[in-house]
Amino acid sequence: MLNKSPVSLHHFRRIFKNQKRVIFLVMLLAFLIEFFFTIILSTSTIRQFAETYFKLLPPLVKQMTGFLGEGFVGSQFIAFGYTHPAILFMLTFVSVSIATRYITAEIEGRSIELLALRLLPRYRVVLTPYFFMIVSTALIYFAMAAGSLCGREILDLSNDIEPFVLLKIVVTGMLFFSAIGAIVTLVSAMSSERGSALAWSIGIILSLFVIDAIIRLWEKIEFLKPYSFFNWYQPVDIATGRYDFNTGISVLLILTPFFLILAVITFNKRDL
Amino acid sequence: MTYAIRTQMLSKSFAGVKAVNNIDLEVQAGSIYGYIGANGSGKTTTIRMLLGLIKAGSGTIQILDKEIPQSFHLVAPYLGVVPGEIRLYEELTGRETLDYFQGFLKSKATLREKLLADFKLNGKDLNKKVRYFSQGMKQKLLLIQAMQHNPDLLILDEPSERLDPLIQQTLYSYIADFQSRGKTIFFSSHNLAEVEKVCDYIGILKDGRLLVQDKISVLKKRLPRMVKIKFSENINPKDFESDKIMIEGFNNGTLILKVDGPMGTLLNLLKKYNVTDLDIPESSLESFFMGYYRAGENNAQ
Repeated sequence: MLNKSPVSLHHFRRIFKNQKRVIFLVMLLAFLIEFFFTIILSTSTIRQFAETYFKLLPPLVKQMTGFLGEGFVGSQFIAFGYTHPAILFMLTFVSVSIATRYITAEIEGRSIELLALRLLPRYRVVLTPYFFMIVSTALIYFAMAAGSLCGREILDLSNDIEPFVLLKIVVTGMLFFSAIGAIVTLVSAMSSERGSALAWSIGIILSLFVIDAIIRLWEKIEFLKPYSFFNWYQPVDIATGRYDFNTGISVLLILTPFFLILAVITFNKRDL
Repeated sequence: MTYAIRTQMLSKSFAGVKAVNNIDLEVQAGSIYGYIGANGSGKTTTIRMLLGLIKAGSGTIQILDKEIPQSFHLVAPYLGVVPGEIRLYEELTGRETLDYFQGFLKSKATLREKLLADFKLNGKDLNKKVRYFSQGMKQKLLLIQAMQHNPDLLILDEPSERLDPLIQQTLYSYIADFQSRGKTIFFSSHNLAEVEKVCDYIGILKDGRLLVQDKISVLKKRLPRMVKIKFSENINPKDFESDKIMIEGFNNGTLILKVDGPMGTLLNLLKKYNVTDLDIPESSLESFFMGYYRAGENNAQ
């Protein structure tokens, strides 16, 4: 009797065994980044310096970072840590490296010839790494939230950081990177060479980021904001209550299965 | 007649070039079938289509009476496969590799310990990461993973590549053992001597076309044979010449003839002569194969 569950735990265990050190290291880094972000940006003198600095920024940059107006709140600074380039890079790196290694590299190295014989139905070859990606992203977000909360406890910032805001950031981030994961899974399912899958995945994500930056900086095309993918991951907007949750969550919940289903169909139809 | 593998008009093209062209494979259950052809003749493409890895351009495939690729999941647990030129997971140890591929199956690796002993992979080897394995050890590992669950059909893509002669013998004895237990072995190779030694059926592939498939013993009977006859009297070699018998040489009372077809005519002729020695060696498959490859399909037939 064929096991039709979308994920193979046996295959998942191999990926976990293989990647556990990397994931642990990324979690540690994520924890430290958010922890020090909280500590540094909440210490009175540095906080004052940061506030002055953000006030002095050109309007366009303020627009892009989400630091608008006066009277900054602590959550705003903490939330900025969740969209810091280092964090974005780490989370993207995890998704891209898992998809390309456990889908495209299997095709390139032809180990797929044995895997596709055993890991049936074929969609499990695609969905198991994707599931691992989701688990990894959740663990990294957990580490980030733990870093923020540790900083909050050490400096007694209970008035500055609301755990509920943090939870909203984490959930939105998880959904956002699930969609990113689905996109890179599709790219990997279409590719036969790991190098090209890496290049395409990074290129697409970078392009989406640049498009979002242009839309934010160029007032004339501001109306395109809802169509920008990165518009739906704005932790600073979440902290200040400017994030449209209904639309954001709906968009991300539609995009993820769309790309994932496309990845499964593509992989099932292609020659390996 | 039951077939373990059967294809009808199987074709596959890559960029407009036919890699496999209307192949009708018939691999009888319980046989050892040697699928032979030069590099690039389409052997691996056929195997990849059999395993559902690439879609057939046209034609049908049946494995163990199930349509492929639709019912591949039903036959997969009963298959053992050694693909050609694959990269194993270098971060796993030998034992983890065997456990990993076996772990997808519900059956047990009943033959593993015996295979490990016979293929000379000991515990120390198995605890090493695959990245430290030699090419030969990797090939042994692939063979063991293919056979450890005692599958009903073995599909082996050039399985003896990179194996030393002693281990090749072990492989051949396992293939014979599998056949003796009613299993089927489909075996691709470009080593003619190996196929002749191991297989009972052969399919010859050239440029994506299956030129011939039959029992090796039947094919051999169709081969022209070189006959060496020593006479104790003077003879005229021309007396032996006919459309089926050609003179290859005559020296010191020894006549060498090439006989294409049954021996009856020649033996009847010889009754009239004093023959002191008669040598009719069996033709090798190699000459047959080379005949097809050199002369082309039409001439050879």
